[in-house]
Amino acid sequence: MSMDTNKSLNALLPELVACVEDDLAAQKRILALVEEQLENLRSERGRGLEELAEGMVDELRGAPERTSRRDAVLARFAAAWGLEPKGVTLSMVTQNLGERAEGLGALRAELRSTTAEVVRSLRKFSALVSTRRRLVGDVLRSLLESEEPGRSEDQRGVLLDAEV
Amino acid sequence: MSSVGLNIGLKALLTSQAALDTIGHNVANANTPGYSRQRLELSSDRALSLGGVRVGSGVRTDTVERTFDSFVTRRLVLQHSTRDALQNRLQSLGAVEALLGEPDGFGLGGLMDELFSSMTTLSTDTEDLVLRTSVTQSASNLTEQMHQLSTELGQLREDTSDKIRAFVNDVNVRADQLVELNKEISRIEATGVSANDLRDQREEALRELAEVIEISFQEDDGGAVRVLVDGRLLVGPTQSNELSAEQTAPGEIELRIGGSSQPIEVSEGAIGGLREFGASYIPGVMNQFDELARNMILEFNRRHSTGIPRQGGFDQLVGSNRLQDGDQDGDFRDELLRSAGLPFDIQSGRLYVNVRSEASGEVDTQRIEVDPSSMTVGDLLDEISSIDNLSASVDSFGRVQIFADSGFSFDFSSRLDEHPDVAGTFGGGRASISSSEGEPFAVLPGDTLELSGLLGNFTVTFQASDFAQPGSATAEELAAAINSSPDMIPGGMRAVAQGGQVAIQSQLTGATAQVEIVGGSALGALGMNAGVSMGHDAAVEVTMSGSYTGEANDRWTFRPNMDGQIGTTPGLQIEVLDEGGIPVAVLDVGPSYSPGNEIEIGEGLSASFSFGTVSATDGDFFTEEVIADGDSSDVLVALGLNSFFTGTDAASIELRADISDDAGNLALSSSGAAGDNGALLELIALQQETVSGLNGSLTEFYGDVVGDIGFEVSSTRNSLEVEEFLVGELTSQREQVAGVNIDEELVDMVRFEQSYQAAAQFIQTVNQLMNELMGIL
Repeated sequence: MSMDTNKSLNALLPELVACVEDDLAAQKRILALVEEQLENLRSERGRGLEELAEGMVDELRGAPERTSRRDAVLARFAAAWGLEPKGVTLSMVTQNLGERAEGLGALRAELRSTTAEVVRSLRKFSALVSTRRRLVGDVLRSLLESEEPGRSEDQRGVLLDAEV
Repeated sequence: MSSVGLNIGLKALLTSQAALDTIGHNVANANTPGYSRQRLELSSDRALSLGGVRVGSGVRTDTVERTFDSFVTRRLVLQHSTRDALQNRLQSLGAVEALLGEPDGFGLGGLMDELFSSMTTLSTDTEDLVLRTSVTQSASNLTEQMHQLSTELGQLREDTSDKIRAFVNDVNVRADQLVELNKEISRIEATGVSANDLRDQREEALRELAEVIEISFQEDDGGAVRVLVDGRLLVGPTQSNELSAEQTAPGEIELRIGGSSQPIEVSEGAIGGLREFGASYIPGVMNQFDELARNMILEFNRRHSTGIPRQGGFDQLVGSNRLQDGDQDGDFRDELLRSAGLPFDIQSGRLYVNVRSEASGEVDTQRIEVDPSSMTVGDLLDEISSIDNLSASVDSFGRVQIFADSGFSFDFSSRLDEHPDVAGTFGGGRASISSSEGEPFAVLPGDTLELSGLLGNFTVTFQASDFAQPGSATAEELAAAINSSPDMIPGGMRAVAQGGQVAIQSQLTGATAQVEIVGGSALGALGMNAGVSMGHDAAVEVTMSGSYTGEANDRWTFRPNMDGQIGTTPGLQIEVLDEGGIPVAVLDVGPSYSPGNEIEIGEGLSASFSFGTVSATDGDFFTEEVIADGDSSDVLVALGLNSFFTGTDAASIELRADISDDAGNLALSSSGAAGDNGALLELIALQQETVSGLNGSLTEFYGDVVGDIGFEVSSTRNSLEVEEFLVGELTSQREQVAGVNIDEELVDMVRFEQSYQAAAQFIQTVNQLMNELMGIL
């Protein structure tokens, strides 16, 4: 690797670290929100989900900008190493830059475990949501089907869909 | 995920939120005027009935609560079923994972690496018997591990069947218990007393039954539950129907209820999990190992079958695979190669057979065109037997055997014929006139060839019986027909076939030798001209050297461009043409060439020519078979001739017995020359090569199999964790039902449904984010 390339990568490293710190912070916030959603669903059977969803929307609004900023930095690493723009991972950066990227390595490990934790919580949340939906569906179906015989289908209640 | 994708996710989420707001508004303002297609509302003048109980105004909350509770219980029972299917699956998958012995390095992967590593070490000195034995030992270890895996997977499948049978007994015991509880509850509740304790016991029994087998159930008006499995009654109010299990194939168990002829299907519960595992998952894994073993046998044998062992060519070979007498007529020979019951497919291709004279060292290379859809076993044996000093037959076990005459050996290697002009058709000592084209020749019965010999002119007349296909004669057929003329030998002449061409030659050599073609109707079809050719005192000696590096088998024809003397005549060149007549090279053998020196042709080969005279007029030529693959038809693999492994799958793969007994039989040379390890290098290269049947290399395929099993274990573990969480949650929810305001609960349900939709959208969006993030870690 040439001296110039080395220099430019050294300059890029703090930018990448900042991006990963942002990602990590965002993941921790998402984890907290998912845990809160999960707890809310467990204790209140869904009350307050709307308010929490609003918080999540705010959180997700920032994601595209974070992603494109991080992708741009990684693309510059890729260009320096002659790789495809999407061909660089944090693992490659930490390996290739060695000691200089020790801090990044630690951040990557934390990001990895936090992301895994988000995925795990999300999996539980998802399962609980779908079980609740099935349960509500069971009850409502029973309500509709138990209407007195002879009542035509269009006179019965059905769940409103999102067409509104 | 692109930012566009994320924005779409957000938009969908916001849309869902808008819908939620509208629903909330609708619900808040609905004032329960009744259900409509537009929204769910509660009727004020016509109350909903839930389990026969009116709700919406003045409902009997306690009864509705119990109905709501029954839904939670039903869901809980289903979750128990799913959880136990997963528990059993995880346990069984753990057993498969343990069998593989990865990643500790004691598994098949390590043994495959060990085999390739021992072959790499052997490549430094292929003569070393210790290194050869190390290869055979590694190969035996590998096949041993394959057998063990196959046996233990089979045993695991058997164990699974045994477990299912035990669980079936368990189901019948629990079904009887439920019948007793039904009877007791109905009896007590008929008196107007609620049998709460017995109901609790029955609920527990249902949960336990669901853990074993997937069920659905409903309570009848008399208070008894009917339990159905796949729509068939297992437990009724007063009696149960017996569940029975019958093994129909290894690992496959059919379940029936009450002696019904129709089997039932269950996918959840311990039985559901085990059935899927024994009937589908284990056979799938076994198939993958069989595929790996089969492709290993095929690819190793492809490379090894054309190799030459340490002691040189073979004096005899017996195939390891048996032919099948498909038409049961007691004769293997009449079977087409493609339907001869061989374990590996034969392609249309070429088999090269080299026969070496131990006395002179001369090698005669013959090629056989193999077409499995038209060639019978007998045709193949006849073709091999037609090669001088070889004979082929089928033994009483249906195995092909090939024998060389005493003083000769044979092989199927890509060895180069170093002296390709044995017949002397290229400036040899004999007078010689050759055909200018190759076979097939359009010679018809009745066509003539008029020759002038020592005793005067004579005519050779071709007969229909001379050819297999009149009008499409081979060089061999023509030479045999001409030589059968009674005037040929007395006339001092002979006909020879070489490389698909035919030549008329004098029997004597030297400048006084002469051969003359006078005329005849066959001349045009033979590509010959009438004329006289004289022999030479100094015959041109052709020597080929090098190793062919081309990718396809070919036959090169060498012809002079004019009449002249090697190393003397200005402008004298030798054209090298491939089988399609396309020039491969032009060799300058005029004054600038020193006779005897090597001239590079290309594709790794060179040629040298001694001083002498060559004649384009007389059609001088010679041919050289350039061989990339000694058997492009796989006929050797199919017959099991000179194989490395025998067998067809993981259970039967073995190192060939006589290689196991004597590592000298490893056929590692591709030319027979001292130090040549061409066949071994091809075997070593197999480690990295893509095997067409596996869409990757052998080691990559194995890695994928192990990876798939690991992924299955991991995803089952994750699913089980979620199921256990859900069982806990539902249990807790069931306990919270008491005290619920049902009116409020129903309205909330509608609102929650929209919240759940928003949540599902949110989950999808975050999952996309997570996937992207995982991708850059």
